[in-house]
Amino acid sequence: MSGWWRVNRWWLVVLPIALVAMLAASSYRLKTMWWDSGYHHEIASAGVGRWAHVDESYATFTQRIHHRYRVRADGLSTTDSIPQDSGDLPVPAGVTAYLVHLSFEAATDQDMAYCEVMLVGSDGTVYGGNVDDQINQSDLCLPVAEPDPETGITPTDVPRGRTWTVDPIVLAPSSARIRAVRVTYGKPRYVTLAVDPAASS
Amino acid sequence: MGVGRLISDHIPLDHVDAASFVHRGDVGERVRLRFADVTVTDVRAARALTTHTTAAAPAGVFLVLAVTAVGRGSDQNYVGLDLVDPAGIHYVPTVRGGCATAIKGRAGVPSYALICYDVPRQALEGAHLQFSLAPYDNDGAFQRRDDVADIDLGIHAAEAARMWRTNDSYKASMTELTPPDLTPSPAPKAVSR
Amino acid sequence: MSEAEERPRGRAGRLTSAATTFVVKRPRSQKLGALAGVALLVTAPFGGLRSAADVPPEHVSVDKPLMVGPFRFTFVKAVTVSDLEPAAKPSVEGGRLFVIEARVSNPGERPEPVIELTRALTVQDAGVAPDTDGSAATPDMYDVDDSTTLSGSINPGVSYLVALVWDQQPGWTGDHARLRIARQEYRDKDPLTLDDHTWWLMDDALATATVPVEVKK
Repeated sequence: MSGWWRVNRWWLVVLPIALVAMLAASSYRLKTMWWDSGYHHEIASAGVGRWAHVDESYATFTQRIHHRYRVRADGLSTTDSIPQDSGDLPVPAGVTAYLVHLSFEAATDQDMAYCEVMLVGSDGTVYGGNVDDQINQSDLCLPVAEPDPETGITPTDVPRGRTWTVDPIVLAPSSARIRAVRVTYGKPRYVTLAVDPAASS
Repeated sequence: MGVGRLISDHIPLDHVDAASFVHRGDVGERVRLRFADVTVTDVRAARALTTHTTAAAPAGVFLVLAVTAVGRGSDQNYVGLDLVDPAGIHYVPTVRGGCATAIKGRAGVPSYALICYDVPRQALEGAHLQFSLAPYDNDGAFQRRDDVADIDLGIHAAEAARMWRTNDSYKASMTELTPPDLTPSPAPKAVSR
Repeated sequence: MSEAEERPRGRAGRLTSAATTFVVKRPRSQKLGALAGVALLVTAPFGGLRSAADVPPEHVSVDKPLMVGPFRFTFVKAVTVSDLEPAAKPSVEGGRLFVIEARVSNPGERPEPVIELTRALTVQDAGVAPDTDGSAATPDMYDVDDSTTLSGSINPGVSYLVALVWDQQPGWTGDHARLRIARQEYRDKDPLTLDDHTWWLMDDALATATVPVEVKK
């Protein structure tokens, strides 16, 4: 070993370790700023008319989440008006309001609250998913309760069976070609359910 | 050592450029941003903003902007809606009166919103709208390296004077699928000057 | 010590020993200096590197405009009312509202959140129950001119006549109450939250005053 290599032999060992430590120390940014802030993790997917199976468990800051359910896209249909408390809202020209027909199956004690349902266009554009929106939909994956005929109040907590269906509305430009439905319980995880593009246009 | 010297001499290590990408426009002009196309379609002044149940009065005057945004890529809320005067002072939309304080944007589908600011006289002349995804908040920290639309509202001295004296009232509106009703009516007695 | 010296040592032990010898051999002044430096660094997140602030006097009155955080606050009057419909009504059956009317403006150059005013204001001897967590209740704020809730931020250069409203328990019969305004401190850099240029609520008072209370039907 020549003099230089000999003098610096310990520093040469330390150097790659220091580099790795440096990268690791700043890698949390990659997770927080990129991975967790977009839809990057497809946890399940299914072809047209098929079930997607979700069985996963992960930790958030505050709790451990267990998700075990299956979901299927039964296709899309369109509607001319969006039901609102203050009367039906007409769908403007150039816009298509899709009813996304979804079937779910899950144990009755599986928490299914607060999902979002989106449509994915053939160019990758994602429609919907901003649930607190102009059309006042709230909990898209739970069966919608009927208002009490006497009080007119809609109960917030509806008991459900092992299987149920929902039909949330998603708006997209009429020119969009929809190729899939995306169901998510929060970034970065999502489920992709293919739909027949011909049926949506 | 040579490589190190090369890096420290020729790369501006002290200078980190975090500026926003500013896209300028005028009223009626569609400004194209990374996440949306935005247009200010109308600029009005109001002495009152009304909803079914309330009438809000300004401490200064309400500057009312009709804004259309068409999202790109995905549905997102546009929260950066600062009004900026020529002195660089920022004003935020008022939560009183029932106008939007954020625009709920949809990919490919126009969102129509009224944005209302309670501002002093000096904020009117030469005012701009700074439209962005994130709020300006902490010296623009959340808008770093992102697109920002800077739209000149075209308010000249005479127009500012006229706006300051207005006695018009407008129906407040948040984000809707159809354009807002911009028919003025006289301000209710309780709030007129 | 002698027992420790007899122990055979590894490379790590020799390094520690060398470092210890180095530190021990330093002059006392250097040791004290280093110790002070470490102490200062440890307290840095809590303000150890900032110069000491001028503490304003407590117990000033509210009969002239005061800077409460970023806001100019001018006390007008204190009243109790049975309700302030349509803006506010008592949350307790038979209760009333304790109201401080004041003029509030933002003389600064950026919008300021109204919470930086309301969080600093508390009243005593006014029949106002503490919050559920036991702390003194802070008021809701309304625009007197149009009865709308003033929340969010107040823009620079505008001035509101406001009603600061607390829930008052049934059965209060006083004619004076004490208003306390907490001091707030501007932080150019905030190492704890990374939110720079913020106002911090301090424990001490900027002003306290006994104010006459007008009782309205």
